[in-house]
Amino acid sequence: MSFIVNNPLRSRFSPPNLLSTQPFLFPPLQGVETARALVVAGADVIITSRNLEAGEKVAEEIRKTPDAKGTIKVMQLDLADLESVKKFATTDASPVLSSTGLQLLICNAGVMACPKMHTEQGFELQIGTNHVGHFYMTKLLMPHLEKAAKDAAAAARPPPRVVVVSSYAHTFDGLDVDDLNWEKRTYKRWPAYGQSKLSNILFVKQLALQFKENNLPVLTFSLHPGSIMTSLQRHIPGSFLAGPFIRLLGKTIPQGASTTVYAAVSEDLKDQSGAYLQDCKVAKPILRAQDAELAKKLWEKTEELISNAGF
Amino acid sequence: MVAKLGYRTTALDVVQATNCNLTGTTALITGGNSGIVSMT
Repeated sequence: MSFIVNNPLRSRFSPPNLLSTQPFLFPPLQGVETARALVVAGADVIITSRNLEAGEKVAEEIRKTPDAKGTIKVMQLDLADLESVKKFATTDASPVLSSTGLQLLICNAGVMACPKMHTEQGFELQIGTNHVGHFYMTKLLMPHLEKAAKDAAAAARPPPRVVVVSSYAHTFDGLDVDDLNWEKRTYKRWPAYGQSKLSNILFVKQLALQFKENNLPVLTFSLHPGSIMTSLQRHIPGSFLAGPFIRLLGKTIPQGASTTVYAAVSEDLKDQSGAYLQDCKVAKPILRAQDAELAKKLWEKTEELISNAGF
Repeated sequence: MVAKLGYRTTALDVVQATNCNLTGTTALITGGNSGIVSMT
């Protein structure tokens, strides 16, 4: 087991190479535990990774889980590059999902509080990865969610779900739909993270509304997983000092995955689509996260950003 | 014993408590560099 979660000198003085797997040793991560739980419950899980080799190591570890009834496979995806998102959704994953449908989509990946960096298409990295990448991917995967919804209705099975991992950090706010890329404001890493996490909640809110308006039986939820020390803290100077406290008072990684799994499977939520969850129950996000007009405006602005980038 | 769901619940506790059977379910989970990246 590895415990080195951050290199303060590197994060302070040089933007880390996001494609590198070497400088940091990561503990088991929350999404891994989400995947493990779903495989134990019998699901056929696809996990995505920028680095296939690293992802395959995770998958291999999950396959060894006692009582694992489902399967797991790895596919390459870089959410910070819309070309990669498009290739993944329309070419790589499509052959599998066209026959099975997509019953569970869990938007889990994210970057946190990084220095000002940009995606391949020039979006600020946190909004670009955490929100825009997931938004575009979800839209491209919509035919597979629709197929799953129709199949479920025909077989009297529960409807498919889209789960988006947000954070309590949405309370940091920072959202300016007219300046999502921090071109008119002085960049601040935490408000930028807060902006991306508030966007996750608003995305789910608007997505739930669209499913309802289109009479499409798909449920969607956002959530705060809890305070967990993971590789996400790699960009935060001094996080090596906070780490021991988070490990003592915060959630373990399997605990941090619980609300995601709850959002994915609980029958108690069947009439709560669009809700925000925390600690395996429905919770209230800040008022701006409940603003329907803001959710609509963010949706339109995100579509505009993607379209202007040529996608 | 089925765990009570709350702050200290684990992902596998949820599977047990909800008695969910996901056979025939295709799930997609996005992740980061080392397989999956998680959140605060």
